[in-house]
Amino acid sequence: MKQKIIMTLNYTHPEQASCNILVHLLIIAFLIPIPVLGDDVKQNNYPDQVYPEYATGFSVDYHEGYKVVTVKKPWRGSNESFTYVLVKKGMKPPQLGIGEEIITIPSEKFVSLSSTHFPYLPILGITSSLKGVINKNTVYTPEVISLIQDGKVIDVSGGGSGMTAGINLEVLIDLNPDLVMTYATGLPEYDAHPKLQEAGIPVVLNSEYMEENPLGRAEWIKFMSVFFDREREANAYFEKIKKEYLSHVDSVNSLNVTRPTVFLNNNWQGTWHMAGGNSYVAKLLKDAGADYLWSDDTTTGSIPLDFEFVYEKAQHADYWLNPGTAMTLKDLLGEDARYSEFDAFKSKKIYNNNARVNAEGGNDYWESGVAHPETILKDLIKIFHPEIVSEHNFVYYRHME
Amino acid sequence: MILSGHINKRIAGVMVFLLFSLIILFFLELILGSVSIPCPEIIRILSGQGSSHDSWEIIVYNFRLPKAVVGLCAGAGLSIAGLFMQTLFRNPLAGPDVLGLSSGAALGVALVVLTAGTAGPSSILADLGFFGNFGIAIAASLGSALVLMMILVLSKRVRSSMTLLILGLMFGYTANSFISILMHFTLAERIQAYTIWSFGSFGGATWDQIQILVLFTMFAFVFSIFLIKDLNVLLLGDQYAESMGLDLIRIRNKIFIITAVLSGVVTAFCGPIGFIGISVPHLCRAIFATANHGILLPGCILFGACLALIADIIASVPGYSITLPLNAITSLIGAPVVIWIIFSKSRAGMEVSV
Repeated sequence: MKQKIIMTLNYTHPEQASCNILVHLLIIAFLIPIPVLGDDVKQNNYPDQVYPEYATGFSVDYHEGYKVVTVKKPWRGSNESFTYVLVKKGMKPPQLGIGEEIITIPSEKFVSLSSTHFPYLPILGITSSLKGVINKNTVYTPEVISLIQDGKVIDVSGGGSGMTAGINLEVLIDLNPDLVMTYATGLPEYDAHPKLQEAGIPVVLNSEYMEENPLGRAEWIKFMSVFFDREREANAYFEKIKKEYLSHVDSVNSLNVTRPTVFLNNNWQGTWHMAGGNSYVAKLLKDAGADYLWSDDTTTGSIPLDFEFVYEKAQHADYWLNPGTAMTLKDLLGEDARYSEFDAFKSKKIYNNNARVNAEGGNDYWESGVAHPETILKDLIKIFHPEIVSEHNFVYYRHME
Repeated sequence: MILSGHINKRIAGVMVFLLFSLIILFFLELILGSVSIPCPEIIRILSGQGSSHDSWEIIVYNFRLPKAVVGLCAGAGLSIAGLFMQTLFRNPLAGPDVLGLSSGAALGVALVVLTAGTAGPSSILADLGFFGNFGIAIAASLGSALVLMMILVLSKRVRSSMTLLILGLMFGYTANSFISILMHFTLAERIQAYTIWSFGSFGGATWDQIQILVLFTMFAFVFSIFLIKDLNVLLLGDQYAESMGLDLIRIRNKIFIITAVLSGVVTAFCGPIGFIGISVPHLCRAIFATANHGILLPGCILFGACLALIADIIASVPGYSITLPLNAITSLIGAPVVIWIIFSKSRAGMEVSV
């Protein structure tokens, strides 16, 4: 990997440095505190700026004539960071540090290699910039589907789908994109970005999946907006959903409701993969006023547990959520007859997040759900405390019967 | 076969030892688990007096007992299948999977698991009322049955057993390449589900499925008793066996069917369990110092079942909530034992043979 951690200080412009000297002289001359001039310059250049509030995986720095975006946690266990220097079309790029990459903005030929980016496109008003996607059959966002149907968006998958399929590099190069956004796992056999870089295609990593806070994950709309100069739209959208999300959290907390117990996922060949106590879904359950039985666990991924252990701990739990791909209670019982021993099964308090799944198995919970934590939260509150959101109808969740 | 009284006594002693070990391991499997249940409670539950915790009764009856029964059947069944294949092909590297039956089963499973949630084979099975583990078991049985049919058809035309061995390997490669193609077109989470299946587990089967497993393995055990004499003759070579009046193709087909049933049904419910099938026959030959199938057959049943239960107890990591992949454990504990036995035998001038 060529990328290295770069300190933002390295690209301070010579003009800016002289500005700072001037400022210091002024301070000495008048002995009064005045605002740093450099900041004022930034404000003037970029009326709308984004700063992550909940997200911890990226940062944006605004400089005169260019922006610097850093992705800090590209994948699990990585201590690398990726720095992108965003320069407006036709502008002269600043001097680059080691491992930095120039991205010309705003992007007009955008290729997205993750379906989680799609819901942001209509919100930011940049759907028409999209030229290529991967796994077109699992796409759920209607705006993107219609572009695919019109032939305006091309599938760049390497014939297959998922992690092993990769991309058809020739088709991708033929599209001549000015920005490819993807994610990385740290496994060279799966990751697309090294090969794309080698081919000279501007590629950016989006690691929103690493955020364990639902608002933090949705906040990556700000990250996307930077590449399209749509910071204003991103801020407006995020403020709106943040307000809504937090007001729901407040109403749950203020009612001082009893927190029903809940457990997640399902058994597969005797092993139960339970979501970690610090995971995205665990945080959502806490905010929705539920008592997740594994909330004291400290992992972010999932934990492989013995079925009997889960049974012992969760047999009297009130609710069971996300039991795999099953659509009905009968499906569930067909998978394993022992599920009927759970109290949640007997009282039919089982809900699954597969209300919106297309024929190819693409689940909108993992697509638009990422951009709508407030809706997922509302769904969950409707499950645990329906009186709080009585007018809300399920979007991503469904009651299994 | 005539055995001296001394050897007879030694063999009987080892058999009794294995039997007792098996009984003890069976109870250990019921006692040890992720949830710690005190021993007296287990005895009360097993004697039908109930327990102070309702959940413990369910854990013992619905989780641990089925797992122990599956482990027992799987270990014994795979060992016999391995023994048969090694004898038939006179190849010490043969195992239950050499005919490509396990790969056929895996292809069946891959077709179902990798298309889960889409309009593929999984939904066809679901429409028929087979979901989850049961649907997988049916797919696996169909897959290995298909490979068996092909082998039986070819077996009529091919005289040499070695040729059949190569053909079996080719079936395996073909099935595996189909699986790779399927995985190439599948979402990551389904690949994960398939990968977990391929780790092997005794804990996935429930009582209604275990009945099938027990029925088939018992049938195969009884049937194989009638093959002991023929198997012993086969050891002397195909031509010699034919000159002794053995109908080679018929006996070969009988062995194929038993092996297919055993490895097919075990793979269907437990996933592809490695190592036991290939190693246990070697261990038994070394311990009993005989090639007589009259001794090796019960020896493999007992030893295979013991090894499977030990592996499963370790894989469930008693006292901890996590589990380990069973396949890793069978090889991890089995390989050093086999290496040690082979090494000590070859130093004593007794190289590995079939």
